Amino acid sequence: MLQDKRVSTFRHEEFDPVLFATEVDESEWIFPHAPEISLSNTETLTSTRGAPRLSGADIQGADLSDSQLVLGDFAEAHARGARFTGSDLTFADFHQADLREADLSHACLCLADLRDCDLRGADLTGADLMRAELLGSDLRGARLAGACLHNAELVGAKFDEKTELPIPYEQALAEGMVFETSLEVHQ
Amino acid sequence: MSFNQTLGTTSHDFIHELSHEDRSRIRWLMEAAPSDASAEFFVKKSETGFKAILKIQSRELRIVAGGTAPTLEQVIDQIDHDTTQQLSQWRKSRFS
Repeated sequence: MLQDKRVSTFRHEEFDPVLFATEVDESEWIFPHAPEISLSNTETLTSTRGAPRLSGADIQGADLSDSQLVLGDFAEAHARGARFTGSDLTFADFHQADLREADLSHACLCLADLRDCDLRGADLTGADLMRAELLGSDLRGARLAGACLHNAELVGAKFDEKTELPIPYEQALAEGMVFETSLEVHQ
Repeated sequence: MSFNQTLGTTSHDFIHELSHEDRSRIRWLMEAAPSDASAEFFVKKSETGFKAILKIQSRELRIVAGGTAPTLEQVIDQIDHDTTQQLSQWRKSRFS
């Protein structure tokens, strides 16, 4: 059924922020809770209403840049290499998501749940991570130059010598970040 | 302040689910912002409850307050508390 859905790019789509899980007609959703649906590289997706719910979905390489994704659900999503540049991801849930090498540059991630995320090699240049939860996330090799980490929760977040942090090394340690020897990002 | 727009127009039932008091409280939260600030309120309902955020932004101020709770009333309480704290901190830093 889902394979018959037309898909088009998420780019610049505006999502209605009000969503009733039990009341929305799921035929309007292209990929509702369907981990087996792949969006990698050749597919893009759209939704006409509601905050996107892509928990557990495979969106590797998908283009979700410049989109309104407030309150989006991406928990445990496979989003390696996905593009979220410039998107509004305020209070989005990325808990335990695979965001290796994802492009989150200049995205708004205020209050976003990035706990235990794999962000190795991710681009977070200029991202707004105010009050974001990054506990236990893996930021080795990630780029955070110019990112805002005001009141972000960083306890247990890992970084290495390749991580570009917007705060001094000493401050990172003081905030509970953990320095670890880098491993290959492609591992 | 885009109050109606933020609540959306696609779900008839959600509008009905908001009590007059809920709507008044949301409006009050948004109107607590400085006069030159913009405010947006986003709310989502799922099987486990409600999740919402309030964003207030002006040239001098930026507040992002969120809450997650089984009921909308509880979420608004959380956001109210969070917003009040952030506004208080902002006012202290402004006049210190």
